[in-house]
This record gives sequence, C-alpha cells and structure tokens, in this order.
Amino acid sequence: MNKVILIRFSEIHLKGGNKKYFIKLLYNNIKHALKAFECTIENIQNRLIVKDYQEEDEIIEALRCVFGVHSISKAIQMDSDKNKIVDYVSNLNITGTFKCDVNRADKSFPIKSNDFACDLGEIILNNNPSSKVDIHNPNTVLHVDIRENGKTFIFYEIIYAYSGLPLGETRDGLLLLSGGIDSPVAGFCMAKRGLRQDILHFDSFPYTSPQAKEKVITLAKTINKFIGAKYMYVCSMTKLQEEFHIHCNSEYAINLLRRSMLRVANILCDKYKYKTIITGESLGQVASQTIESLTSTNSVAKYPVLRPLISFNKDEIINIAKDIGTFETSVLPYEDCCTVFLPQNPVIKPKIKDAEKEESKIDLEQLFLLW
Amino acid sequence: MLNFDNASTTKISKSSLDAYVKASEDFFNPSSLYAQAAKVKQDIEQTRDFFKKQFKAKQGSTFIFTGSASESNNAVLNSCITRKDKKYIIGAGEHSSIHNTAIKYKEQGYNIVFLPLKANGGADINALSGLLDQSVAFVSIIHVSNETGAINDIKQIANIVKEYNPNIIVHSDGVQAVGKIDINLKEIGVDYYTVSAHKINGPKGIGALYIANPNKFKPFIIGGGQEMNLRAGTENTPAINAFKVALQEIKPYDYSKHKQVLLQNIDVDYYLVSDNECVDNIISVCFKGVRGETIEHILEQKGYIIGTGSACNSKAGKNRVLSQIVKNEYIDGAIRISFDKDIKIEDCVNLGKEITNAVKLYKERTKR
Repeated sequence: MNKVILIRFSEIHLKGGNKKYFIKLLYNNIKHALKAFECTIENIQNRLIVKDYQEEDEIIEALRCVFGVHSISKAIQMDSDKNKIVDYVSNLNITGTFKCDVNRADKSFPIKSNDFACDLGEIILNNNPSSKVDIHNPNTVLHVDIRENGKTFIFYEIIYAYSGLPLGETRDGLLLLSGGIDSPVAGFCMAKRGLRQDILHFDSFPYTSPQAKEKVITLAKTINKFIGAKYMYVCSMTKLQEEFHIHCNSEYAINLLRRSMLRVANILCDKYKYKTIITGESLGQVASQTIESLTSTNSVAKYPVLRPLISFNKDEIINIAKDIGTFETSVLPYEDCCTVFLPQNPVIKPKIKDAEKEESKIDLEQLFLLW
Repeated sequence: MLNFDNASTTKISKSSLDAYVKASEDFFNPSSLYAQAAKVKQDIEQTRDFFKKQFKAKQGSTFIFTGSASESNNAVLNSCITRKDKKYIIGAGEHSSIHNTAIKYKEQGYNIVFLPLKANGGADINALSGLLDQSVAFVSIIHVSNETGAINDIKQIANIVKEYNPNIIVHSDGVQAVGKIDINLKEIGVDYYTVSAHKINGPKGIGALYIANPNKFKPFIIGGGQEMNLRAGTENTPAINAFKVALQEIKPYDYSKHKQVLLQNIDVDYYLVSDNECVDNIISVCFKGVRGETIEHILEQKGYIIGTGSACNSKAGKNRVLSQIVKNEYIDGAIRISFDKDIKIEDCVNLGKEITNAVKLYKERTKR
C-alpha cells in the first residue's frame, strides 16, 4: 500500500492505433513538467501514476498545466485484494454524509461494483456512527478504482486539469504575442489541442518603452508552461510604422501594419518550418478584427492562421486569462503599440485592393530586406 | 554613456565607495559591548555630529539615519499626522513619498490640504496664509522640486507658519537641495528636514532625518532602541560612513553656464518650466507635439541618458506635478535634464544639438 498521485487521460482513449504514441507523448510531457521534483512516474493501464514524491501540492499544480491530463487524484494504491480493501476502508474516519463509488475495470474482481460499494458503505456506517449515506449530495465521496493490472486506487477528491491533447514534440505553431489580454489566451487555447508554439512579438521602440517589451517577456514566461516554446522572436515594426504613417492613408495604418506582421510571420515560417500562425483575434472586437479586416490581413498569409478566440466574448477571454495567470500582467499600463501611429478613424471594412494600393506607395520589399 | 539624469540618482564617488567598503570590513554591531563595536558606534556618532555641523543644526536637535529619504518622509508624516480635527498642509509638488502618504491619510479621513504651485513648480507662498487657521498642525513643503528644480524659500515659509502659530510643525524634504544651495537649519527654522545620500554621489539605501525636538518625535520603526530610540534596526554602518564622505566632498558648483549652453543649443521651439528661481542643475523643458519618452529613447541610442516628465502611456496618467503647471499640449513632451560635476560644457552643447535632432526626427517621422 503506498501513496500515489493518480493521473487520468483525456481523449487519448479515443485514439485507435495512435494511442500508444499519445501516451508516450503525455508521459514525456509529464516527466518534463515534473523535472524539478524528485519522483517516479509509472505507466499503468490507462492511467499514469506518480510515486516516491514529497511535494504533493506542487506536483499536482504542475500536472494541472499538462495538456492531455483529464484529472488528478491523491490516492492510496494497493493490490486488488478484497480483504485488503475492506481492511483499509474499515480504518477510515468519515464523518457527515458520504457515498462509495466503485469502478471495477478488472472484471475478474469477484464482486460487482454496486454490490461492493454497498458492502463498503455498510462497513463505514458501522465504524463511524456519525456518518450517514447520501448518494445525491454527499460531503465525502470514497472512490475505489479497481484497475485491470491487479491494482486498486482509493481516493476522495478528483482535481480537474485542462484536458485536451498532449503537446506535440515539434514546435509547429508561431504565436503572435502582444502585451494585451487576448494573444496569451490564444496561445494557451491552441496548446490545449497539442500545438507546441514559438513566439513572435512586434515592438515599436523608441515609440514604446523597454518596459512594454519586458511585459511581453513576462507573459511569454507565464504561458510557456503551457505552450512549450523554445524561441521568442522580437521584431521592430518602427520603420514600417513610420513609413505607413508618412506615406499611406492613415485609416489603413492598422490594417497595413497587421498585414506586415503576417508577412514577417511568413518569413519565419518559411525559414524555421512552422506550419501555422496563431493570433488572438476575436471577430468584431475592434476595427481590425471585422471580417473584412481579417480577410485583408489573411490574404497575405502563406500559412493557415488559427484564431482560437474568434467566437469568444471579451469576458470569456478575461476569465481564461485570469485562470492561466496572464491577466494581471496584460493589464499593466505599458502599451506595445504607441498611440502616435493609431488613426482617429481606422477603416472598418478595408478592401484588399485598397490595402495593396496603399502598400504600393512605399517600397515594402526594400523594407522587408531589413530583416 | 553620459548621464544627464542626476536628479534621479548619481554615480557613487570613488572615495564614498572606498569608505563603504572599509566600513563593511568593520562589520561589528554598534550595539554590542566589545571594543570593536564601540569603535563602530563612535564612527556613527562622529558622523551624526558632522551632519549637525554641516547643516548648522540647532542646539538639542539630532539626525537619525534611515533606509532612504522616502522612509524619512514617511516617518515625519507618521509622527505628525495624528488627529482628525487638525489640518495638515502639504505642497502640491511634493515627492511621491510625501504625496502618496498624504493621500493615504486623506483617504483615512484626515484633513489634508494641498498648497498650490507657481508656474515653475515652486510652492505658491502667497496662498499659504489663506490656508492657515487655528486647526493647522503641520506643514510640509519640498525645498527644491525634483521635477523642475524650483527653489522654495523654506525660511520664509517657516516664518509665516511659526508667526501664525509657533506650535505648527514644519517639515521640508531637502533631498534635491543638498549640495545645490546653502542649508542652515537653525536659520531656516524647520522642525524636520529630509536628506539622502544617493543624490550627492553617495550610496543608495541610506537617508537621514533632522529632528529639531527629538522628544516630540514618534518613531516610525520600533525595535531594539537604536538611533536613540528614534529609529530601530541595526545601523547601516557602511552606508552611514559613505554618506559622510559624500557630504564632505560637496563643493559649491555653478551649473548656470551648463544650463545656458544647453538651452542655447536647442534649436526648436520649447517651453521652459525651470525659470531663474530654480536650481541650475535641474531643467524641465517641454516640446509640443512630441513624446518625452520617445525623445528619451532616441537620446539613449545616441549615448545620452535623460529623464522624462511623462511616460509613454495614457493609462499610467500624466505627470502629477507638471500637469498642474504646464499646458496640456506640452505635458507629453516634457523631459528633465539634470547635471552632475562630471558633465562638461561641451557635453551640454552636444546634448542640446542631439535634443534638437531628436525632436526634429520625431516630428519628421510622425508628421502627416
């Protein structure tokens, strides 16, 4: 009998032939997430367990941030021996209302789940006079999980993680990260579907402060436990913004800037083999995120642009930002896009051909050679 | 890199640093009873005597050493703002350590009133009499404005206040005044006076507070009875010794030529906040249609460090002091230049030209 942390998978059990691959991936990701802790990780049938550890709460917190983990429990592991389980349950101290929940994955175990749950409930009632069964709304749920490998796990609490799919081995995504609330959440959302990402940030020094860049670096560090980045690129847009400002129709300034941001992302995708670009755009949130604006910016992208927040309301995005710990940094006052270059009335329905006409007023190709 | 942001902090001098290192080696706790500790204690007392002499402190007064000028300022307000039926007058251009502490008390229901500013950032002394009444218990006015360099006539302020009611306590934050103007505390007649080391080529993490009547002061930090029971905490002996050396090295220095040359070489329109009633080593100057912070970053790339009056972000709000005295269109373009002894006249010529270039560059790149 020993103390373990029980890890359940999400979705992986739906995978057919790839199941083994995903479990291995999850195992490696968990190993990486727990590298600061002394512990061993064991793969048992359809579960992973952590044993021989000290820092229980810290390990659980780290596991919560690993995608592909459905839920976690602090459990006692013992052999699937009816007498041993009964012995253990006999010694439990339970007050108030409770119920027993038995899951018999091992069909060779001699008693059916419901019957065994009733037996265990009776034992608890007899040994704890102040306890009472309530199967609808109990204070305590005693879970008994009888696995196929001859091991049984007994636990009370189920701590839910973010589920999703394990982060892939290769960094396939390039996240466009600003200092705002949305883009860190977008990175988180795509990582939840297993997309490992590196980061691209645009700054406008000297029109913005070094603190604005530091803020984005802080955000990058905060989300990195989710997105698994290795590199963060910082690209200065100052020269481009100045050129757009001087030569082009001011109403198009933001649209032109965003088109150029995607062009920079294209260059990095070409060079470093990223397969997709991730942005924090949400339909209609601001002028640059209308369907016409997105069409104009999208038209220069050579790679699929994933916009996981496209249907999210601002308060939904804020709730996730608070949950993943980026909100407080995002609302620090350092702006990463200086208001000097922001038009009074940005175009709401830009046309691709008008954007191209504006771009033709400057030597864009020459400017891109700067990179 | 040339540092023109000396009102923010100064480089520690070689001799001050040497004193710091030497005193660090004499690591004994001045409160202990053995001979080595007694020697350390003696050094501190000699430094205290030197401070009293240097600032011409009145009989029976003392200096206590603190962790910073901000601590000294907090300590004074903590000791003096005690009754909700009294009125407390605070300058509208005080350093944040006074202003934000006063705001904290105001929010707690204390009657805090602010003495308005003149166009150069100095306190409007003419408005002082109008604020005085029998309920006034305390007045705190900065000696030299850290934003504009405006000199407040603290002697006159203390006179007006004490003539009205000698029981009113007067404090002045002298952080930017030390080494720039002559300070004779007995003559000025204040009850408290704040000084700091790192603005005069001393180390950071050390300030001092002049206390005219120690028995009336309520300590801010309570503990093991150090500093004559007025400020607990083991004395920062290295910093205290280094502070003394920094103070010893102060010599009268004329920056009027620096200021004149710098301004002569700025060849774009500007609004000068720092007039003739300001110290010459701090210059607050504003440009229309530019952002001070961007000018700061452009100059940084050219090898010049300056300060800004207003940060490049709307959410953080405008500069609290300048927004009271400078027209709105100028506030964003405020910069602050402050000299130290190692700045040469030709550096001022070059900085003036670089400021001109930066402002022109900014306007050219952002013009429409």
